[in-house]
Amino acid sequence: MKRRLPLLVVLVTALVCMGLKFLNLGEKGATLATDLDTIVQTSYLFAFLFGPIHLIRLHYSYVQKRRPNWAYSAFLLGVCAVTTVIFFINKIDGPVSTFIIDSITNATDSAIYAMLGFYVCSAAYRSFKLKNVEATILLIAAVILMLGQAPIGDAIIPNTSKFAQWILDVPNSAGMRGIRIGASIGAFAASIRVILGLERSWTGSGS
Amino acid sequence: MGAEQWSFMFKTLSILAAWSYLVKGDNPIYTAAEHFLVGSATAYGIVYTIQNQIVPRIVDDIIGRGKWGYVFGAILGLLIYFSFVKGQEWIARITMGFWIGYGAGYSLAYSPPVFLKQVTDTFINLRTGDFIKSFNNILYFLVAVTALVYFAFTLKKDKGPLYYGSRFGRYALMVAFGSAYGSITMAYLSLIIGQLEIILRDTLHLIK
Amino acid sequence: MDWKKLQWIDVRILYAIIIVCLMIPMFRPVGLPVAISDNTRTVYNTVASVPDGGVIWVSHDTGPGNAPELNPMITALARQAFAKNCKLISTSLFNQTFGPGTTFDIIDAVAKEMGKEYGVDWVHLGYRDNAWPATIRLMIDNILEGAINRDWKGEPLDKMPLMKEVKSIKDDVDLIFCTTVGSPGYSDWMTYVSEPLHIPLTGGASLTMYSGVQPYIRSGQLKGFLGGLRGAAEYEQLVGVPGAGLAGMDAQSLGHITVIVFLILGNVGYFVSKRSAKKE
Repeated sequence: MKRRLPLLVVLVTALVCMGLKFLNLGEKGATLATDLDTIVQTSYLFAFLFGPIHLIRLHYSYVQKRRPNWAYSAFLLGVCAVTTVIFFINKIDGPVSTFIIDSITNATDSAIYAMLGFYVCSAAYRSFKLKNVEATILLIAAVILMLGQAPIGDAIIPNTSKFAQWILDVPNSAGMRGIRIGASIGAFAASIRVILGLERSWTGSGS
Repeated sequence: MGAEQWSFMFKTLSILAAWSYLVKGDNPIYTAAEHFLVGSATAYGIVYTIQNQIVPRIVDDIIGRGKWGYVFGAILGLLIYFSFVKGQEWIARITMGFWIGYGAGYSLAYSPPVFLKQVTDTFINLRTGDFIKSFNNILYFLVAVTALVYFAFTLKKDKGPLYYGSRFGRYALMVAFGSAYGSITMAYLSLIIGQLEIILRDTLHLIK
Repeated sequence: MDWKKLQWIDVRILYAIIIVCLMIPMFRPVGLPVAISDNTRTVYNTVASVPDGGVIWVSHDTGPGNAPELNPMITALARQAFAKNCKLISTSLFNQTFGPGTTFDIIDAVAKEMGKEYGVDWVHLGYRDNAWPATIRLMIDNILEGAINRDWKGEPLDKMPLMKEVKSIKDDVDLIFCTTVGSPGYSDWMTYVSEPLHIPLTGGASLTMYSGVQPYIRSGQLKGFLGGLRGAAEYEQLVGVPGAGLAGMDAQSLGHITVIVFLILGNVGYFVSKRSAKKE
């Protein structure tokens, strides 16, 4: 029962959702759909502490067991506690909250993500070797795109941007379409497997 | 120094703290900045959800408008916390099952029109009045079909049309991945440019 | 010269070269012209085709990471929309820390410049937990229900004049403009809103995913889509107010040349090593 009940819930909920979309149930169907959406929305809202609790438990255990670098975990817990109080008192749009989020949190997040730019450049230098025909084609396409997307491409070789746009519009678009069609069919199959209870890894009991 | 300038200063310090990883690898400054980011972002998420969504739902909707049916949704959401109770994790899976069923059901219900449009748009007019347009359409159709042939790994493709089709599809996919790489390079360089503008223009006022 | 050493340059030197090469055009801008693509013209024309005073739903579905690429698009869109006296309703459904405040600041800067009032000409709903598909499905029929009657600051929506006119996405929204970096993003807007309700969808994507967006542009499911900083620069030109997009193009150019030089250097070192290994 403990393993079957969640699978039954998946099946019934999925069938109800598909039925609401495909069958024309009139006013009653519309009301049921709205109620279902609201229940899902409300359930997600009240589950909002799931992630933070996991995070706090994890870092608390690091501090308790004095794992290597436990001081950083203590720092994280302290920052979380202090900033929670600040955000409650100052409200989300208050000057102190805005300062912390804009000037430190988002700025750090943005800078960490921007580091990928450096890695892309070092990857271009280290990993991108013309070892075979495929690598050569890939490299030529990449170079044409890079020149075409920047204004300097047209300055060096006229109409580079038009040729780069053609690569995006025709061969790239067609290749991506083939990939998308294949991926969509795979996604349908995966959804059906989950709905029918053939995919059970999320229940903790394996397939 | 005004509030805005202090803000730009702290942004610059945050950028330098993050980028210290490039010079020294894992170091105390980077690790501290990373942990601050995670801690403050978690706190913001908690307060934002409570202030803007949970409190209005309880005060305005459930109590104010008498929509007591929402309590069922609240209980369903609260069941997820049973995953922290040893031996009772199965109760949390009821809520997860509900979310999974909802997501999978509507995904299957809504996705076909989007997907089918992609399929129908692949079978385009190969003979138009214009030579370049016809060439493009023929190439488009060939690349889309041969890319699918390439990904059909259960087919025997060691000789004949499937072999050549698969190879052509592979080369066409290399063009697609190369253009993706070129685009990605441009994207990440523009992110670095954004950070440098904060440092040079907004903080140090060295550029306009 | 030992060409084999070309393969083993310390990456920190490469990082320093990249930073210097990106900085040089910032000190000495060249102002290379940026050609405008058909895609960008389609986006511009799609926004222009919204009737004056119409409603545009703007969803800035990005995080702080990709913000430098996509923020200029929202600024330009706000200018074009406000110039036509269009009303804007904005959301930011990708990242919780970025969505509420930063998106508000971007549109607010343009709104103040153009004399538009918050609550009357535009409203920002911020970030919503589980937007897809539950909250958006609710907003399709009743925006106040879906947004729990609160904007990003927690102010009641039913007190705002704009929300008395704009009650649902399906009846009152003329265009969806969404900037996207992944999921949730344009594919969710397309699947749950644009396709079933036949509301035109346009916007912009980070270049990290721009090549994957092309099939939808070709099929017409997206009415053109801007691509990264370049797309933002082109759009700014059409709107007529240069901004961060155009400002970054010179640095972008030199950055690309630098990456291509790195590619060449790495391959020269590789081929020379290969040849020496063969000789040995």
